[in-house]
Amino acid sequence: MNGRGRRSIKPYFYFAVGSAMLAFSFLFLLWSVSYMEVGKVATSLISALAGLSLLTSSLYLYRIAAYVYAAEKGE
Amino acid sequence: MTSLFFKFLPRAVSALLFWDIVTSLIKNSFDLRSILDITVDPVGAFPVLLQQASVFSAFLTVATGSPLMYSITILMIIVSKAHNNPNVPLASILGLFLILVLDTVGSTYRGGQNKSVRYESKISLVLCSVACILFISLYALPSIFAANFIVRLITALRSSARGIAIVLSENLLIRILLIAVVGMAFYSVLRDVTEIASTLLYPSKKAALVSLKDESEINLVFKAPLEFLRTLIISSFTSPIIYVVLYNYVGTLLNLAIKGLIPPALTPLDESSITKLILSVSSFTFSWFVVSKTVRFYEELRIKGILMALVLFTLMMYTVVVLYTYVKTLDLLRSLMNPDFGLLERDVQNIYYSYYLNFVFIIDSLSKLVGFAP
Repeated sequence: MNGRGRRSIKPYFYFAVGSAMLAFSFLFLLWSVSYMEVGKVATSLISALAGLSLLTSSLYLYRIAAYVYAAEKGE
Repeated sequence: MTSLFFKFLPRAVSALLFWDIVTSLIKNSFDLRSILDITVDPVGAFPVLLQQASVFSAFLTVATGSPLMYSITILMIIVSKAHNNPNVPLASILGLFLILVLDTVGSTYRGGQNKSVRYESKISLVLCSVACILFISLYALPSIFAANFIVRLITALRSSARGIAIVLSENLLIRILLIAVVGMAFYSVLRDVTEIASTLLYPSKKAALVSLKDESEINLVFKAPLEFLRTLIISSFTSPIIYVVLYNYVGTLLNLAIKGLIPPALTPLDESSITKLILSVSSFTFSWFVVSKTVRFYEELRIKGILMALVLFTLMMYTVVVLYTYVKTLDLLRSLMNPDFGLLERDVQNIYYSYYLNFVFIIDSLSKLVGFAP
């Protein structure tokens, strides 16, 4: 997976998982708005909390992907 | 030359924006009597007082040119004028942006350290502009999404008219709180996006290896955002119990103590409601403190901490029930041996609704005092 001259898939793996979490976070945030429209305030806030947690974790994974990419590609 | 520029321009921008406030001090002389008005009519005098204070703050902003003083002045002006005109003027937001940019660049700029992105000469202008647009959209798209999300959330809160949403949507302070919390969460997102983008554009092996090897930065214990909200929910479960005991013990004493201290202007408030307010706020802060410490013990898996928290919690529950039974029966031995949980349960169930109404009352009267709500 990480030969001397071969491209490594590690940054792309982190990037893919980060994108999946980002998609889930969008889903939760949109659900939160729809719950607020029906009038369920607490459900909406909990869904916003879940969406924002997923957002921060996806950004964390992106950051790790950027570091690994820079460690292998940079000069 | 550039340092003079960076020192002069923020002060010029703030002087321009606060011009009419600063000159109003020269036009109408400063009226000291308005300060005394607050004892006669506290609700109406507060915005006027805030307006007087914002004049001083505007002076300080022009003198120092710091973005913090600028934002404080803008906040004071908006709050004091909120009753008639609750809109934030666009010029002040642009001015804040300008002052922040000047402050950041002026304090960190060092000559000869700029960097550019290099393109081959064969690449056309269209590709360059597309690249610029992509770069700007990296910031613009999350901001637009965040703003859209917040606007939709608040509009949905206002238009839905069921249950607790009615109480929450009428109150401007709650709306502001919601906007502030969600806005801060999205802001931290944008900050991370900037860091990621800069690392990807200019990959540097040394810097990346330094960050990867630094254990404290990489091995983050995952800390969920909105920890404030979680502590709020859990402590609002446990605080009415503490409140009930405090009210039965300390309530009558506080009533007697406060009776003579209320100025006659605040006649709708009598001493029992003030006692209830003080006790509910103090029981809430106490349970907040306990809950946040306990949850942190569970998150970090400190075994001694968890055991200590459990033992303390059992002791606290036991003490609460014993005290409660003692108040009702005045027989120490019986309350120690045979504490009556059912009595406490019934009273806590009764108090749950009125306990939270206390907080709604506080937030409501706070916004009325400041002048937000009519």
